[in-house]
Amino acid sequence: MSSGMNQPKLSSYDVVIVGAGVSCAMIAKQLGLAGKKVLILEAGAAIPPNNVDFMQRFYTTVAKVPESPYTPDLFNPPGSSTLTDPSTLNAGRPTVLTLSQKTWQNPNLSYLTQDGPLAFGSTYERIAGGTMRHWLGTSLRFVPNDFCVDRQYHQEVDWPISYDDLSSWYGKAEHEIGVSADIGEQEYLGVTFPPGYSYPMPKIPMSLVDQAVSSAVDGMQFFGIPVNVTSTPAGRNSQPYQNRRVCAGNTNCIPICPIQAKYDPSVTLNQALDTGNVEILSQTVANEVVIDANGRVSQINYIQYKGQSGPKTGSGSISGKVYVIASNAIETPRLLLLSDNQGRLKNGVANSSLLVGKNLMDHPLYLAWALMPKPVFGYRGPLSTSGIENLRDGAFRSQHAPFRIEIGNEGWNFPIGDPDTTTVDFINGLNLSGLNTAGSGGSPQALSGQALVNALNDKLTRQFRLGFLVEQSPETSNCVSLSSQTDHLGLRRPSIKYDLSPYTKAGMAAAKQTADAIFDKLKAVQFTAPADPTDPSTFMVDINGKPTRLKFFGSGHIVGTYRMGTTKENSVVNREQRSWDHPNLFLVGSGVFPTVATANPTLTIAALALWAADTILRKDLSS
Amino acid sequence: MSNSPIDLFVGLSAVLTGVDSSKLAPLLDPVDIKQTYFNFVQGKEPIAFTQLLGIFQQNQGQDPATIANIIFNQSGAAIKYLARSIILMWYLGSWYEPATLQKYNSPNPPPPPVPSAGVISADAYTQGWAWNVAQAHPMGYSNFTFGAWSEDPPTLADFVGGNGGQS
Amino acid sequence: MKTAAKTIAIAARLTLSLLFLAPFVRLAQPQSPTVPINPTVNNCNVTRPDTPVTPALLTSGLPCAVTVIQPITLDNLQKAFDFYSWLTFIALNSPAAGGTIGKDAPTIWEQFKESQDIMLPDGSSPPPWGAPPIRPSKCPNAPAGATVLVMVGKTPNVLTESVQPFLTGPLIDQQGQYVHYEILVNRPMFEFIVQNQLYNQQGQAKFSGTITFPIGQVTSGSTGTVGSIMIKAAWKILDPKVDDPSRFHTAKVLVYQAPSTNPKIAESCSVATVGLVGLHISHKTQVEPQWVWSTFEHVDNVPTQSDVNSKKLAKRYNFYNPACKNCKVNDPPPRPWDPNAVPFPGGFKSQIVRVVNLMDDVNKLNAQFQGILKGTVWANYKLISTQWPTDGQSKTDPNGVPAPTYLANTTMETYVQGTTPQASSSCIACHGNAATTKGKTSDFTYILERAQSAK
Repeated sequence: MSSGMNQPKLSSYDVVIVGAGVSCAMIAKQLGLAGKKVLILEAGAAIPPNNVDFMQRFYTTVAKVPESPYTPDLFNPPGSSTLTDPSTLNAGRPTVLTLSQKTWQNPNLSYLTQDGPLAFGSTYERIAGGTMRHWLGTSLRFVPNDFCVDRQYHQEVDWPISYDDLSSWYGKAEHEIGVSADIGEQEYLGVTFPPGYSYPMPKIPMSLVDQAVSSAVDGMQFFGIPVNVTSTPAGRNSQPYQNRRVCAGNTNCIPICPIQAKYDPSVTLNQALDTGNVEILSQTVANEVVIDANGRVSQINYIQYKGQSGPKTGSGSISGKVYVIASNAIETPRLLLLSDNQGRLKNGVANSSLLVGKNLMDHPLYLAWALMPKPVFGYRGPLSTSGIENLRDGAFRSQHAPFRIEIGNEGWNFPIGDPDTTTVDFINGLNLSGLNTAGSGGSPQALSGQALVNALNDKLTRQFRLGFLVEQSPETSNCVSLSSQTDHLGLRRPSIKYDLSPYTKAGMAAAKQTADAIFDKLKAVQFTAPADPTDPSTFMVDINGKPTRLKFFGSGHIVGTYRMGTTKENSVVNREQRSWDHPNLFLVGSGVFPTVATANPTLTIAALALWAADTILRKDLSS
Repeated sequence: MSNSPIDLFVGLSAVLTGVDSSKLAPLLDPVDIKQTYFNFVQGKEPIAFTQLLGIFQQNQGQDPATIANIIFNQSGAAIKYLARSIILMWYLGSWYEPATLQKYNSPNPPPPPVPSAGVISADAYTQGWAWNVAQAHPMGYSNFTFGAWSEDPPTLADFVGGNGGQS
Repeated sequence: MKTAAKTIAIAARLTLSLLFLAPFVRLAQPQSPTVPINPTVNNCNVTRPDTPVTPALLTSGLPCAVTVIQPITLDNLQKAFDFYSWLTFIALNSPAAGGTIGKDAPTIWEQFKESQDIMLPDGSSPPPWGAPPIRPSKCPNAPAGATVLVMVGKTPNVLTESVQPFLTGPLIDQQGQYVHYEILVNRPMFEFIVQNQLYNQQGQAKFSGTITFPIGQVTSGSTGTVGSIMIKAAWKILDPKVDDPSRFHTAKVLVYQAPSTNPKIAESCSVATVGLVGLHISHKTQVEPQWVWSTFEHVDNVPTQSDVNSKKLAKRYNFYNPACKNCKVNDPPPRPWDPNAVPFPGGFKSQIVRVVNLMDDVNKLNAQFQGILKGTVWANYKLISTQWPTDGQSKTDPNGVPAPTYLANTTMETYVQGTTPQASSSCIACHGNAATTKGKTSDFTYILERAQSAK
């Protein structure tokens, strides 16, 4: 492309969107199809012509974390093991590599300023396509009671909308993404589908791991509820769809599907560009939402730069009729808080409720791993193909947080970085995996030749893990604010306060007990590592009268920081996702969720975005 | 058996890894990862590598267990840990410095994990034998087709050759 | 005519109901006599790859399989496959009307069946072998029997022939015109699809077992079967002001553009003279169940990266401008893409460079074959390489460990050249993911996923 392409072509747009992730993609395509002119400001890199750079970076990175294929480079120089200093990056982002006791509060390593008491474990991308670039593909709907937990169980808070309000938008989102699932299997806990509805593609076949878990666990009861294993709805192709290939089981949905059998928002963004009505400016960081005397957004100011650590190349402002902030539940509140309008709005934009940045949530994930008595041949198939969903709702919700159980197909890759850790153990005579104990007195062996092949085959083919996605309750004390640390553009980075409530911790404890019971039933030998007291992602909880330390992982499900609600006092946006304070400002994405519930959030984000697009077209741009 | 350095390297690697040499270095070998690895180790540890190949050359008539015993127990730490680095290279496509492996094998090892000095190349990652020994494929590199995960994989012998590790 | 069609429809319905009534009864064979799918032929070209390249090869015929000779080494086998590729190129580019390759005339492969004439919008059975190309009503009536180059499938969500792998984008020549593509199959492949009713989604759903296209092989002497051959061709619209038609194999075609809502594209059809710039030939053979993938290009297409580095550039290329200093290399055109809007708005032209050099042996072989084709348009084509499975029977790699590992034609895999696993173009690795509309592995062809639902 020639120079000058990265400038707006028009002086004003119908809609200006900040952040080219899934919400943006959904909205921009619908608006573009309706002939509306849309400008997208993306802080990070543009959509690349192919995935060569992503894949090359993935293959050659030692730590293949969710962020590894994408930019900015996690390591400086690329390929080294030295983390990039976030103050040198124009559009930095968090990484799971800065969650250890040594790194999580080091401002030269951690993009987020973590004020604790616990570490916030989730990360996001700043690149065209957004964090959904590295999503797993799980496309579960919320269950009806998720929208009224207060009414049903006197916990948390109700949504201003119901399952029935969202149902048709779920259907549209499932078709936009391309979800493979079986309708009969998904009708549980009150989830219903309109007559004649079908998912775009049949369900993904269950793995051998799923089959083994299912054969032992189906019919077990927890909290009085019988459970069973079901195939997980997935934004992955079980048939050719949208000119994309069928899943080949690369076992790599996170961080990247090498053949794009897994949907990512670049598909929809490209369709938005196809309309001829949508433009994307990349490496363009929105730094202020400007509010006029009438309380309406009048423009958005932005800064442009060259290279991930290069110089500012310019700044500008752009105006539209409607503005949509679609960054994510950390970067959106950051932008709103940064927008003090020369001190006129000292609490930032859209923040009369003082709830911007508050109620930060995630799915704290309890991870448990074990060896099956017989081979189940993991490390094959999509990362996860099935789960146990029965415990997402029930009377127990008045006592502790609910959860869903995700069955992993990737052996112990998530828990201990296998096969690498176990392989190093057996070759170098170590026992970090816990598996190398056949030497004299349980000491580790150093093996080679056929003995090595046999030992590794025996262990690796029997590994499996369960992940428990626990609902975190909303707490105003868990929040995003502005740090004193800055990025390379001089903008204040996000600061995080994070903790888990007793209700949430009780859910984690219930998850652990459930894991233990499932492993017993499977006659599987558990290897879940004891939580390390120095790890900032651990906490104490009472289990059957015994103080127990548990570790949690982030799920990448960043939620709640500009919640929707029924009044301008109890929420940042109304049920339309429109700011109570500024009528031409929409805030979209998982930040609007009043509660995180137990479903992976992406499908709900997409459904809400499609609904917002419809509202904008019907109400704001109807002329 | 030829005594060219690359053939010695393949023979040595088969003994060390337990993977048949026809699988490590097939007659028709378009990826030719053996040459990548040979050049890499030659660049990293030229002296110890030459010694290790020499030890293998002198003993290649012996059975694998005897050769392994000579390499790991009778040839000194430099040879022992280089041999381990070479096995890890074949299994994971990454380089673990012999000195690092030795440090982690000491009575007071540094804190985990054992650091790798880097992935040798994208091809090296995709040719890692740890995945094959698991009867699987590298994460992010599957040549299998839709639904293969719901059925049993090929046998271990199909992957590693010979009698599939079962001695 | 109408009655006959109706009769067939009734018969089909009867068959369908029989299936429901007695699911375990083997389906009766269709009543009309069927041609053998993969008939025995007695003129397989079995020329050894160490045969001197002389004009005698111009009439040696189509190889049914690859002839290899000792020693069995990667280099020696690659030479045999490349030799096979040139023999195949010569055979398939020979005049459809008969005679020796030479003058620019309609070729044998251009008489193969176009994919859009197999996978019909209503899922009905395709017109028989030899029927003229289906002409959209938007198109003019002349010229008779002209190939129809379709830019975009007629039905939504169908893989389009203008779009490259990974939807990476169209190729725009130095006159701002889109390059046009077509996909064709030979008769054994066509008959296999038709006789197994793989031309619609219902037929594909009904098909049990593994899809295995017929193979080429030599059984003895020059007797054998041809097996399945797929062609993908890339054509450039010739501009009389700048292009020299005498350097190309040309065709007078109908360039048809199906209407589309997004991107918004109007239906159009026009007559154009086009020149062949790229040709994939893939052939399924007994020893190579992953198929043999030969790819050719016009010699004027693009410079290699090393040509650019060493400034050894020709005066002009089909897809590269030596005078442009700021053109971004191997970058797709900006969206939206509307093939009716030509030249491409904003003056965009693709600036394409070949990333991976040709092997020395291929360059030598190209010189030899171009030598015996001297004085014809065919001397202006070159083999890029031949990809083949080195371990076709591998149980652990269904792709059969292809050699070379990566292969790209700059007119067809323009934007995915390179050497990164899974991301850079490999014919076999990509086509190994091909499936039917039902997700079943489709034996290395993407044609089957274009099937529509029968009405």
